[in-house]
Amino acid sequence: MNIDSFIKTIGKESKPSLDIKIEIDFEIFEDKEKAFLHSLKNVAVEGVVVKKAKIEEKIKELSKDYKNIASIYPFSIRTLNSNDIKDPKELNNVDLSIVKGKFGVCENGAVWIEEEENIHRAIYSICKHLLILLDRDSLVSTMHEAYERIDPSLSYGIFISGPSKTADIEQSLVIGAHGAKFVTVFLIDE
Amino acid sequence: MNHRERAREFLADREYAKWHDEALWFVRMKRDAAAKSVKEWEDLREAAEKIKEHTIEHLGFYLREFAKNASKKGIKVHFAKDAKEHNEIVYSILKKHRVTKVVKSKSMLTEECELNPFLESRGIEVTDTDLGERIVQLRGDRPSHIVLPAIHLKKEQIGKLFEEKLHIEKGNSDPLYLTNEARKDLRDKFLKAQGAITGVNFAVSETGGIVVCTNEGNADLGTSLAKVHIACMGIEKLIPKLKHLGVFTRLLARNATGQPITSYTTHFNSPSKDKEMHIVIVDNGRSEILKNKEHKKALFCIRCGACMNTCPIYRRSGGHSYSYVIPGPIGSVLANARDLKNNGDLAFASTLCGSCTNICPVKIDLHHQLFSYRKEYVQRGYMGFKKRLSYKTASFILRNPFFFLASMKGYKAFYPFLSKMNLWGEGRALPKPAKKSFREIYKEME
Repeated sequence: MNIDSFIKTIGKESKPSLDIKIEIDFEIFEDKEKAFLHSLKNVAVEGVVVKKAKIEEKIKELSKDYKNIASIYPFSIRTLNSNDIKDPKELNNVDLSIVKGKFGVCENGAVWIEEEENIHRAIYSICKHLLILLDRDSLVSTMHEAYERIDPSLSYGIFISGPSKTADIEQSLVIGAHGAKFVTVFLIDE
Repeated sequence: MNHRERAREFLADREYAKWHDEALWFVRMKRDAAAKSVKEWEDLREAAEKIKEHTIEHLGFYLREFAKNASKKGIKVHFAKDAKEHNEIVYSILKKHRVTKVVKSKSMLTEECELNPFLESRGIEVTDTDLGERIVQLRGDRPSHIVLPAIHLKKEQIGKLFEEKLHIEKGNSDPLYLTNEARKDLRDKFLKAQGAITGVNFAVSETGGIVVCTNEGNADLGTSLAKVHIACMGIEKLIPKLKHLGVFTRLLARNATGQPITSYTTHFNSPSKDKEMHIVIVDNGRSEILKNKEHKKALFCIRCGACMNTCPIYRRSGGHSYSYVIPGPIGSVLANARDLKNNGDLAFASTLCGSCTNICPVKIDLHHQLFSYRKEYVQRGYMGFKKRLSYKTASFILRNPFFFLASMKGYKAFYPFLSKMNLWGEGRALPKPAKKSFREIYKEME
């Protein structure tokens, strides 16, 4: 069906004269880092504060049992630049995927990831372990503040809050349904 | 069979019914804790209601904006007036790309349109990837809840099912083991699929993009591996602006399962490199509901499923006792909006306690809607003869002082006999008649 006849059946085509007025006095966390780390724990994510100079060292520690480490950033430890491959299905054996978050949300432990340079969106969900690097001072209190920071012209972006999980069998929480079984967030201290 | 008869079947196994009731109540309690942790919770509900109200009053405008913005981003937008058109559009896209295997993440719309059998009969293998939906699919069953599709099944039943279909070890019904086995089986499906179908939680007019929320990451894995992504949505999924997601992402998961947010909240605003993305926007009767002043609020629904978890009837009758694809209070309302004559029994599948209305994140007046469908059901003459006759008789007696007094006396005199017969209903006790009526006491006081 074409758009005009489709919208004609629906009607309601008038342009709204007023914007929706929303007044919410939302919570602001005073100690953002404490609140964020607490939320991460609640959603089964390990959150660690890491000095910038120690990042590589910490990643090595984290990945000592891993063979395939993918990232689009040139860490010495990576075994694969995921942007170099053609078919994302080749990422199936990735143990650790290292990505960068833009900011974290204190109320729920979600991290906003929007990497324009990244070609394969699969790197966020296909790996066994997802490591997100995040600036320590990039935390916001709630989702309201979060969306103020997101540019409406984005192409793709994702809030990740914890490993993949399901409770579809008798309400028992199982971590690792389809996506990453482990998620770690490094809060980078300059 | 009507709802009452199916509910009776469900209740035949008392222990199972109790287990089901408690499982859902547990989810409701988790929701309460999550809602209480946000002090501005009621403000959020009010804001959500306002946004939805505004959007549907300008739905034509926002739809056009959405389509325009999505096209600018390289997304192909299609419009389907009904289920048939929807299915044909999806099929034609898949056919063009020579897709033979599709992975699908949760979408109640595709259930509503019966997309799976449509595609399967044309030689396309469709795999539901949400664990609950996969279980239901392997059983040849249908979801009994919109958020927890397999809530009606016990782990032993799922273990047996997997033994048969996935050839796992015998007698193991540990949820962790079963989930891992399903993960292995489905990972293979993800890797082989050429197409991915998803539902839509929110479509943002301002950006032309859609948002999909999952805990399992199945929508992410599916869409990022396949070469074509088809997202199917009803017209009511629209919201005007990106910032409005601040309100809805705070409400949705907390109200659905008590989580602060879903593990994955993905914003698909353009296809990824060398891939195609399509959005199919479906009416299928929604524009009719939109024209109905009294019932258009039903289109506010964000499908959190909380009205099911809280409903004393749903918890004690199960999702399969409802004849419509969406069960529970909101399902009953939508079913009545579509076909009151054949779904009228669902208007009565409620105690009208109002718990659904109180828990609804977008403030749909669910129990009022059900009540008004009851009235409409009677006014249109759909009520059965026996029920109609008993209501007529009761109405006559209650309006006539002489017959009213006589019937009171009669009730008192025949109570021992009536309480055995109990025409009112099984499982209910007739109230004992008082020694003295109010009238008699009042007279004595004078």
